[in-house]
Amino acid sequence: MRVHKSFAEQLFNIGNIAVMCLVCMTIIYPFWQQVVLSFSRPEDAQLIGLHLYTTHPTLDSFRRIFMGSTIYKAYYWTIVRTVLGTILTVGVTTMMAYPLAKVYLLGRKFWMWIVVFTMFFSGGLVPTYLLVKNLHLTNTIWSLVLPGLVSAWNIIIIRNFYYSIPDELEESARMDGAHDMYIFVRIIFPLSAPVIATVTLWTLVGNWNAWFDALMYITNNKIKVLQIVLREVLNDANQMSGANPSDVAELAGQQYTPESIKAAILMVVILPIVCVYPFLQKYFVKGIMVGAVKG
Amino acid sequence: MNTTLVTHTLLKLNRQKYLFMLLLPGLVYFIIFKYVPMYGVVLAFKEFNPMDGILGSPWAGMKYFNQIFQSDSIHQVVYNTLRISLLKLVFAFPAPIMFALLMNELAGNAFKHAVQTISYLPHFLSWVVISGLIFQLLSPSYGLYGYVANMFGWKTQVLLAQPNTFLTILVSSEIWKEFGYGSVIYLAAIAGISGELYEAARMDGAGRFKMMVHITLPSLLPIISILFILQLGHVLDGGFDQIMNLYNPLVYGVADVVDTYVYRMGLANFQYSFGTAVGLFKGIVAMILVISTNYIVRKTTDHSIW
Repeated sequence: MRVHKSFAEQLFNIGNIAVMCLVCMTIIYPFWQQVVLSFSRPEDAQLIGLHLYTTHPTLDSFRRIFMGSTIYKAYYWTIVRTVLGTILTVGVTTMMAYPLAKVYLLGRKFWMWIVVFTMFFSGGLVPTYLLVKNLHLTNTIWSLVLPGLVSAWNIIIIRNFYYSIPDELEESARMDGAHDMYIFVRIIFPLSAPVIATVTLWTLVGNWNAWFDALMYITNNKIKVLQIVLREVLNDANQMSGANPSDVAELAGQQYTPESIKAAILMVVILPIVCVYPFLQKYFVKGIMVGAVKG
Repeated sequence: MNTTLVTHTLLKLNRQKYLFMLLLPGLVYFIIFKYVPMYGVVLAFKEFNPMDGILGSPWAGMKYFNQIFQSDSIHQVVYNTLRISLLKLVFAFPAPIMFALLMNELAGNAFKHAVQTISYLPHFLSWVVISGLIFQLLSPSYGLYGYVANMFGWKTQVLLAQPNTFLTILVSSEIWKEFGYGSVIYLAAIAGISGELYEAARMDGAGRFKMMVHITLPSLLPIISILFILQLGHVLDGGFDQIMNLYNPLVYGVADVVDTYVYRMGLANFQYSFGTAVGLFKGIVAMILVISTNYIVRKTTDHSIW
């Protein structure tokens, strides 16, 4: 690096650091505020203020959330959905991508075209909904796992990675009498760990954060995922702030969920993500490179 | 001749049986969950009756498409979608580029790393969570907005219920959620720029700002143009997740996009055929956009998505 810096340059550096700090503040503050609110008493959380700290720290909100069974059930279903969805997605995607990476596969272009076409055109919301309904998947965990299982995008990314594995490895295994299935399971799959980890994490986060399918397909409240619970809790605030005047009047008599409870549920929903976040971030950054623009 | 070809193919098929076994589950998935719904779009041309199913329902011809082109609300919805997409294109698209440029000028490695880690975080959370944060911040009675307004003695209003402020919130929350993560790809591209270019510029007496404008930015242009064109392919999306979590009936006038409209009409109001017709209309326009943007990308940059 250069030794002497001009005054203008130093000014720029300071300005740049200041802008970065400001940007980080806008991200940290909303989250920090939720942390503070979740540890506040409901009456303190309701007060106007910046909520940078709380004068009466309490675990009451968390205690109240964990008293009922809702949150445990929501955790259970979110985990089931995430684990099941991720395993199946990664399994089927890696399996499918392998033959498609073989130039000599019979009808390869046709199979690939079947996959890629889904990137441009889809049946849309209503036909998909009716299909899931006709298959009697609604109100089952399968309605959350199956409809979005495999994406053409993931197949292309994994297939591109398979291309980079030298053919010689495979040939020598074949010399020793191994067949495709054996090669895939024992050689290709282990060698693809980086790209598989990336796709696994994408799928994991996607499943954890998914809510719209649960909103559409789960109508009897038996399977409630965390995001839906959070949405329901937040929704009364949304209605209050937005809905048409008559709705507001109707709702006005009701008791709203205290801010401290809302904040606590929000914490409970994002905590697992925040815990694995450092790990996630590393792989996501790698993954975006794998998937970026080349193909 | 023909028989040898057949036996040859069968032999090959036999040799590749394990490959086909691997391929099969995925193909079954694509056919059931992607192609059957594609067939389901015939619903748009039928008078759907749940009792008779899609196949048994009588044909309705172009009735629902005529309805689309005659309905005022669909014009409004398409207009809203394009407006929201263009606002995001103009304001949210450059944000990660600017952030990456500034980031590149940061010296301290630990500080840089910390800024990066913090800025990616919102990308990993759902719009349900982010909307929770937004409701809290913008509450006139106890949020940050209420606090600041109180301090200066402003008159407060419910910002999410005002059409104009709603659009501002939509665009700024999009920027806030994605600028950090969006910058990753640009930072990688910057890392790939040859150091010699900077050396040479320094010899010629260029300062940091000049290098940023004359070297870094031009080197990023190919990737910027690719991402921009790709983004154009999505102008009919508008951001379904975000809008579904933030909007309310008071701002339907500006916030209802094609996808939210399909959801409300098709599923919430049980107008299956009309919803399918709107979805099909969007799907066809989107397909044309994606194919033509890919064509443009291929012609202009040698890169293409397929």
